[in-house]
Amino acid sequence: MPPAPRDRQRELEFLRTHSLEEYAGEIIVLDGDEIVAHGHDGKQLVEAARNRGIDVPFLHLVDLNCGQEGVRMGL
Amino acid sequence: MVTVKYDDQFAYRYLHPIGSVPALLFAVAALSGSTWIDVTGCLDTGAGRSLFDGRLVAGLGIELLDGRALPFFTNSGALVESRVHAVQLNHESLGRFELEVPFSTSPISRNLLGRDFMNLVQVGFRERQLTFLVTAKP
Repeated sequence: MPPAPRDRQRELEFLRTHSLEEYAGEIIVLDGDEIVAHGHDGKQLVEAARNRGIDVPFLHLVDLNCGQEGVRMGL
Repeated sequence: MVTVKYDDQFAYRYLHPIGSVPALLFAVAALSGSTWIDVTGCLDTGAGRSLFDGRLVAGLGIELLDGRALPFFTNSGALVESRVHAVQLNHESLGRFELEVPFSTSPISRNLLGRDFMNLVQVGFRERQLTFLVTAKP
């Protein structure tokens, strides 16, 4: 059974207000307005979240070209 | 006059650096998995198939390279390789879906929900209002 959906308003507000250039191309794990882990290995990131007691972590892809001006296409 | 009814309306989400985009937040897990992660996916009517970042699948207990290979060609002709895995998606309003999702073998900037996903749901866009409408009954 899927877990009950989490309220992610704080995470989404964080993404709205932070450019995250220093994490360009990485995956960040957000818990509220805190980045609890970041990197490229999904398994390690999920384990890091679990170690902090987070059952369903929120993993966000930071744009590969974050910080560079230009129009974004799908790929 | 054509009238299409939708169950839900969502505002575009602002994501750096792309700006306001029609994105859904949902949980994803392997078909028989118990590990769920929350991710966002951007609705992309120009994508024939959905494409998720392959780095995510290790967190779901899936071996990326075990999946069937499926190449993507971008508008510029560049190749993006992927491996297809069946996963389950769960959305707060739309419910649970099973979908064969290609996962990239190299990093991508955002997860894309392509026309394979739109075959499961009815989607309408109101770009000027920065909102989109969805119903789980296409």
